[in-house]
Amino acid sequence: MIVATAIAVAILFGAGAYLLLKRDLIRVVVGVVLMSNAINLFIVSASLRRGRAPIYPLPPDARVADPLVQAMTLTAIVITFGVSALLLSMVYRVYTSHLSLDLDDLAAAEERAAAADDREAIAQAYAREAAERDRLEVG
Amino acid sequence: MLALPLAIVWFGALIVALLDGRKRWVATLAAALLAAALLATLWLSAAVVRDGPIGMVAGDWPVGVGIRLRADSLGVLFIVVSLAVLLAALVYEAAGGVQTRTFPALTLAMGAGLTGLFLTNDVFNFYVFFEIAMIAAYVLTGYGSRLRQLRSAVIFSVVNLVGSVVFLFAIVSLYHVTGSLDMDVMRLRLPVVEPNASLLVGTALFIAFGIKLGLFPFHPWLPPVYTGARPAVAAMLSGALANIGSYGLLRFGAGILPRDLELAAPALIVLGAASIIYGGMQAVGRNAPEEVLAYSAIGQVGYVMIALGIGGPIGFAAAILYTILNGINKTLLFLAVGARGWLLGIPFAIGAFSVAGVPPVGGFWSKAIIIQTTLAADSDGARIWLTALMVVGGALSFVYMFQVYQHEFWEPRDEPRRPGPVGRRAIVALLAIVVVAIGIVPEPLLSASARAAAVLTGGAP
Amino acid sequence: MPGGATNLLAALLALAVAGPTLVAFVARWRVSFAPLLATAVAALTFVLSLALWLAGGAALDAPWAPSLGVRLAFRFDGLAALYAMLASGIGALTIAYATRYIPDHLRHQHRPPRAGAIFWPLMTGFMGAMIWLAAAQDLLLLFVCWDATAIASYFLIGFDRERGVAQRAALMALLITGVSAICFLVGALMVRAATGTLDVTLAAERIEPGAFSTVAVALIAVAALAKSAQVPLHFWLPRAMAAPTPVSAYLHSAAMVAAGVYLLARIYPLFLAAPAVQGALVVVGFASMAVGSVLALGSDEFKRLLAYSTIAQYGYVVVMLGLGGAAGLAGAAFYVVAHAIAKSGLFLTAGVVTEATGETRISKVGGLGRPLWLLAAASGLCAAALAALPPTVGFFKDELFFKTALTGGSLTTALALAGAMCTFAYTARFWIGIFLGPRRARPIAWTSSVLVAPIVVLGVLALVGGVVFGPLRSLAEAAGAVSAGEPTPIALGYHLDARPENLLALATWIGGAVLAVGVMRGSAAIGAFGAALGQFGPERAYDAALSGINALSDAIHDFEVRDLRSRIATILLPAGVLVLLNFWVTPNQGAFDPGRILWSDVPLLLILAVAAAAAVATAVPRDHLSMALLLSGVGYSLTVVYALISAPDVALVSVLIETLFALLFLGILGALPRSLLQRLAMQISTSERKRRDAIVAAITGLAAFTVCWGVLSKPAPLETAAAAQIALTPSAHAKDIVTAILADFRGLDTMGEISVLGVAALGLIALLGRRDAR
Repeated sequence: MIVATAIAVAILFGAGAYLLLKRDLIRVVVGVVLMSNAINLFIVSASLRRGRAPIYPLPPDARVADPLVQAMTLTAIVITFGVSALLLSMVYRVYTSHLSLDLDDLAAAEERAAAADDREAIAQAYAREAAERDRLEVG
Repeated sequence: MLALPLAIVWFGALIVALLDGRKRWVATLAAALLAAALLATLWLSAAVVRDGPIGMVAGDWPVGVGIRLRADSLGVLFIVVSLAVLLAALVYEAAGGVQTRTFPALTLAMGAGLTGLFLTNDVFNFYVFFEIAMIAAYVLTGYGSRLRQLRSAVIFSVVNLVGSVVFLFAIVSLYHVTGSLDMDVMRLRLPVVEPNASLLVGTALFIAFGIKLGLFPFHPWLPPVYTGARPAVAAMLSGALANIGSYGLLRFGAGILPRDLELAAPALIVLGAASIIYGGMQAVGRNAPEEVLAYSAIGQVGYVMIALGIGGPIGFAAAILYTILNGINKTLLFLAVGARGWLLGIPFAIGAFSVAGVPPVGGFWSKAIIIQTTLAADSDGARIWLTALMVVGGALSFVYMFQVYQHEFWEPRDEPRRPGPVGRRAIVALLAIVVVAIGIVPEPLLSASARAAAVLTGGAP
Repeated sequence: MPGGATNLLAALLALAVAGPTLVAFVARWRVSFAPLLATAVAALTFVLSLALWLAGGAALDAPWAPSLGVRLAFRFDGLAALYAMLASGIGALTIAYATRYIPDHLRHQHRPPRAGAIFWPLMTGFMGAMIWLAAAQDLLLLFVCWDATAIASYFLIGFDRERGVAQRAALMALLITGVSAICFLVGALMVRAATGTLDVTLAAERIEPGAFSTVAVALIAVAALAKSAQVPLHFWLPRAMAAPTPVSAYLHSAAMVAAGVYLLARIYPLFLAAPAVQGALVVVGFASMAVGSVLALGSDEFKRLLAYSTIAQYGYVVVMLGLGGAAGLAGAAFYVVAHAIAKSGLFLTAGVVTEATGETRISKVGGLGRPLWLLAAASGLCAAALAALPPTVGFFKDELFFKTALTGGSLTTALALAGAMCTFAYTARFWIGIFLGPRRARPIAWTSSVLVAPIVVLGVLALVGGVVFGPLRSLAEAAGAVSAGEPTPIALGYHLDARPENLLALATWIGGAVLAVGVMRGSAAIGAFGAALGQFGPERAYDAALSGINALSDAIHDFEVRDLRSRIATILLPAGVLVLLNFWVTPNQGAFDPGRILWSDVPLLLILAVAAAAAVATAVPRDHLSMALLLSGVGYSLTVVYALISAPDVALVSVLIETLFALLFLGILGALPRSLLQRLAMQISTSERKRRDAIVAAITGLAAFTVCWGVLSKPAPLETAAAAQIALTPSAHAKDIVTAILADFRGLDTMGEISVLGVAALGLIALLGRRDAR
């Protein structure tokens, strides 16, 4: 059973890694989610004891499944959900500000921005920011 | 008392999250909370120095059932530095006007995550706090909401999520091979675990923390993130969040898996050397100070790795001191680049001298202690090559820091720059004074790092 | 008596720090007050140093960084007194000179007077660092003061910061002296490793000869030689002439370059353990004499000529230290002072001439002796001292030099004679070229008595030192005694007899005069020779190295990956390889347990297979909707797995979370325009790219498999934390053990988990709530 679990974890993890290398940002997110699934599966399988569900009432001398790994899995599932949801919304935000989710496009934009000396843009942003502050203070 | 700093930032984050962070008083409140937590930690450190480590189990459950928190010299030192860096970055940002309502709350959340993970003695709890700090960092990297920041945030989150998954792998593996989540119990049980399994765990931990640190060859995410993020955020990432990596390697490697750390020492030293050369070489040719600082960060991690690889009380103390001073230097430099105006060349120059290890500023002591460490390596070959590497790395840092310093501050400018807000310049000046003060009065930090290293090698508190 | 002297030493050291600080604040407040204050600080420092020396010296010792064994250990001995008085005396004169020079200089450069504010604290700060350096006994403390002088020098060379020449010169000086200083640090720590102490005197007692000691001392010597601008690290000094003239006269002729030979004198006792290094000093010294002299003979620019001369002159001192002996050690100290008086006088002369005529080259001026008779006379005395003519102090410096050279045999004597001839020749050329002959420069604008007065003082000193040489002799003897560890008497005096030193001096004057005539006729040829030398010299190597690493850096940067997926690939691949390396490092026998598969496990196996298949299918390119569904498929299969292995709580939460995520995912897909999704789905990677991705993914998966299997094969044999939790659950008033763990035993985790969700929600609102892109 150990090998089988290890194979399943490895396949999930490998598939996630494969998707991480794609141009499409949505697939990148899916890759992250697959990797999270792999780790959740691994946590449950890292149980040190198998047995019945850890819920009272328990018959005396019952073998109880390791409740600690279950608790850890629960926490991990929720955390990875939160992070994945955040990542997904970040990707959506990239779309709204850039109208593309193609990493090659984004990399090209990165080069363009570097070429156009982004530092000037920062200076402008500062100026805008200062102007806005002045306006607020006057108002 | 032990949980006080954590409670302040954690509940503080909760309260501030409900308020509009763009209002000046909210940012002030957040800064006050951070300052209060910092004071509480200093109070705690005083108690730790006086009475030794302090421990407690959350919820008063027996050890092994509940989560154990403990404050020792190593943990409190990292909390003090991280909270101080966050406070500086928050005040800096507030002085120029916070742009989003969430910024102060996120800063506090990162502070809560960091404080928690430096205080906890439970590896899974460490993971949870680690995720709080990380997710706050993901959102903060996007702060500014220009495309540049957004792209940084995406790169940062994707790569570090992979790192988190690897880390969780390691944590769960530790539980599986030891049957416990408590670090002290693990330390006792791991010697009987077969080297194969424990080394695999160690490797996973090394990869996870290597990614956090931006160690070569796990570094490619770091330059775009540090250059893309706003100065205050870059300062938080390099000065506070990156501490997780060094702390983690110390706590897990030196504290829990010493045997495996020793086994992996050659890998640490080789990758550390590669990091120093690679980061230094990349930094030399860059023109923008942010880029130079980002690559410099990759190089500086290499020194920490070499100190860890050499190990022992001297090596661990050197790794701790180096991490802390590097964090402070980077905070100073990132903020000095971001704030503009008259006399800002001086704080930048002070930071540059500190990075190059020139006395009488703080970085000198970390350079001296790291050379002392390489001279204590256990073979003649290692001694010679590593010490030579320190000279070469030092030479590179001279070249890149001062080329960019002159480029940035000595070249005539066509139009005079609009000076930044006074508050920002004041905080930069204050940080510069701290760096100089550490150089002039080094003993508190030197002995604090020696005490912290003693926690790992089993000496005094 | 000792108490009083100790207080005096404390006052001197405090003034060295407080003085510059005060000057800095005053300069910030009213820049016009700073020059006088700086001069006063320097003069007071000189008076204190003199008083302390007359009081017999003192010592102070306090811990500084006990963890590293570093002490604030000072001893104001003969060596300290000599260098402290040198630094403060020349400092006071050059700063007085600068009070007039710097405002004019700024006016010529069209810079505001405010720009001078940084000058005064840097000059006094440099002087303070020299005072500390002179008295320091602890090797790391020496290093700290050492680098402090380099910092001051860096900013002073770069004083005209907008000039490219000054920028490059400042960087060069910093890199050469700063990087060689790292060698000093390494050497100092090696001495500590060998002897267990950083105290120079103690270390000298304990150090054993051997390879380790030789390397340690050699590293310190490298830093010292670089600071004294010795071959092959000499080239930064001529470039440093980009600094304003007072800086050149002070730092780069008298004080900072002197720090190098000072350090050699200070660590001289350590040479006993490293005789090879001491031998090397002689070679380096003569090489510097040769290179410096030839280049000086060929130079036309005043300041360059003087800078090359400085290289040669410190070559003399290094030779004397290398040969050692009473005459060598005390003579080196004497030489440094005599040279400093003469050379700074000549530098200041060059500054006045340039201010007066606007010219910087010998060939453009001449005949200034009549209009500037006072200057000509004063600088004539300085020149005479440099050329070792009696009755100036310079006569004795050469006498001691010859005396030392004679102890080294006929070769060193011959080389010494040749060097002295060159000195005579270029000094003569400098002074004659400026003050005699036809007048070539345009009429003199003005000269200020403030500029001439310090030169007159130096000229008079050079003369008086040649007549009343007792005080300087006893100071030099005391300094030499510190190096030697025993008295180093030197007998000075004018003797009209045929002793070898006198014959050598006579030969110098005759040979030098002949050489001078020859050089003035054919200086162009020597200049061309010098230029040719520069083509292949170490300066070229420095330039090549600096531009080389910049070019290499750009090349590496171009090669570095830029897009996200390559960044990820370059992280995943080494991570996977690192994990797989474990097979090589650790024993694999029995490390992996295949486990047993029971019939009851078959449903579990099947559902795991489904999950794996769905994961693989997700990775195959197709439209986003089916990808989302397949992803949910993976999630729900895992939910079944959780249910099958008796984890009902996990299964329930998993269903909930999977559903939530699927809804969010579908929602976002729905919000994205269809055309964009189609375009993304249509992308076809090249087959090469696919192969590469597949290999990276396979290695990553294999690594995950290795960790997973390796770890699962070794379950903990001991009792687990869970057992106690199961037992304690009733006391937490719960039925479900997992709930008890989450809500009670590990409530902190749950609070953390909620915090993560909270932060994610904050981020979600911030990201999705606002529409103002860009």
